[in-house]
Amino acid sequence: MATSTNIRCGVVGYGGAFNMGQTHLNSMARNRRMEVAAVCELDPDRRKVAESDFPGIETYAKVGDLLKNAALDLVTIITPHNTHAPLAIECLNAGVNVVCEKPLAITSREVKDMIAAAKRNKVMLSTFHNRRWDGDFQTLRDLICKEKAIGRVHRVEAGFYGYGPQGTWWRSDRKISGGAIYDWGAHFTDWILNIMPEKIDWVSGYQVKHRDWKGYSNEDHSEYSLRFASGALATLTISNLSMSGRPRWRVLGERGSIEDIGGKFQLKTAINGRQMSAEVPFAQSNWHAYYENVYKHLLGRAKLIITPDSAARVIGVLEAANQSAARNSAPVKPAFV
Amino acid sequence: MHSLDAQQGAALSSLLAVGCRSGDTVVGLSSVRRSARLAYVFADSQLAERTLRELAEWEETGTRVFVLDDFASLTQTFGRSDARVVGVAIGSLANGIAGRLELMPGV
Repeated sequence: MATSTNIRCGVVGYGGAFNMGQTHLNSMARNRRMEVAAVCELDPDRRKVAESDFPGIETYAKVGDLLKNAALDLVTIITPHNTHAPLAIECLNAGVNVVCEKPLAITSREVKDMIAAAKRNKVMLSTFHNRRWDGDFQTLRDLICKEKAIGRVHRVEAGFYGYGPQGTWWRSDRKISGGAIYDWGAHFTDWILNIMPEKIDWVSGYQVKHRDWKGYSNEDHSEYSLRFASGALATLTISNLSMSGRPRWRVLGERGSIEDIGGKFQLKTAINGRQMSAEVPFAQSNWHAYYENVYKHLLGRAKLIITPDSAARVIGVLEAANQSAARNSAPVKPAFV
Repeated sequence: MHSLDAQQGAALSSLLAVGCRSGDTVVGLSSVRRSARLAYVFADSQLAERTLRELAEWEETGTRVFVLDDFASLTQTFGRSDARVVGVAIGSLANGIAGRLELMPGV
C-alpha cells in the first residue's frame, strides 16, 4: 500500500514505438493522487522526449538508479517481453509495486519467480490487461456471464487475421517476444479465460512460418486449441498468413450463439422453440479503468482486478501452445490450470 | 392486464437486458408513450391508477400489458431500478419474450 500522501509513479522504458510510456503515464495521471515522477530509459534522446512530455519529471538511464533515488510507489515496465521478469523482480525486491506491460513474462518459471517476489516483499504485481475494458469484450462477457443469453458455452472461436510479412524488430524476434502469439494472443487469452473461468485440461498448438519471409524468427501463423475440464473447447488464431478472415468472435452455447459482425454482436437464441435474434452494439471502451483500479487498490479501497494469478494462467496457455506446436501439436497441460 | 410475480419478472429480466443493448427494450413511461407500437409493456403496480388505466387500454391495439408488484425483479439485470415502465418493440426480441411467457403457467 502507498504510505505517502501521493502515489509516486514511474515507468521503465520510454521507447518510441506506440509511445506507450506516455500512454501509461497519462493514464496514471488521471487519478488525483497518482504523481507522475520518473522515467528510466536507456536512449538519451527518448529521455529528452520524456522530459519534454512531462516537465519536471526525473529521468534515469539505469533501473538501479531509479529505484535508489526516485522513491517510487509504483513502476510500470514497458520493455521487450524477455526483460519483464528480471526487471520486475528487481523492482519488487526494492519494495516497489509493479505493473508489467503484457505479457507478464514469457515462461511459467519466470511468472512463478515474479509472484514469489511480490509475495515476499508484500507488494502488488499486475499486468496491463487494459483491454479487459474493451467495449466489445465487455459486451460479450455480459451477454455470456451476466445475462446468460446463450446458456452454457461449449465452444469459443476467436482470432485476429491478416496477411503479410512482419517487420524486422524485437517484436518479431521469437527469443525476445516469445513468439507471435504473445502479442495480441495475450489479450485474447485473457479474454477467453475470463468468459470461460474453468479449469484447463490441455492446450494444443499449431504454428506455421512462411518459407520465403525472412529476417525474423516469429512464426507467421499461430493457433491453439484449449480444452477445458468441462469439455468446452476454445480456439485462438493469430495469423499473418490468412488472406481470408473470419469473425473475431464466434461463441456457441447450449441455447444460442454470438458472432462478431463488426461493431456489434449478432445474438441468436431459441426460447421454447421460438427463434430470437438481436444485434447488440459494442459498449464504449474504458481503457483508463485499469489504472483507476490499481489506484484504488493501492489506497486500499478496491480489490485488484488484474491479479498476478489471472495473468499467470495466460502465460501458462501461451507457453503450452508453443511447447505443443514444437511437438507436432501434442496436447500439453499448462503450468497454471 | 395480467400480473407477474417476482420469479416471473426475474425470468424475463435477462432478455430485457439484451433488449436494452440492442435497442428493442424501451425504458421509462415517457419513452414507452412515444413508441409507435410495442409488443409488450411491463408496469409497476404502484403506478398511479390513471396511468395503469392508460396502459391497460393499449391491450385493445394488440400490446400485451403486465403489472408486477416487485418491479425490481424485472429491472435488476440492466440496473434501472428507477424505471417503473418497460416496453418491448415488436420484433425478434418480443418473440423470445413470448417463448419465455409461454413457459410460465397461467400467463
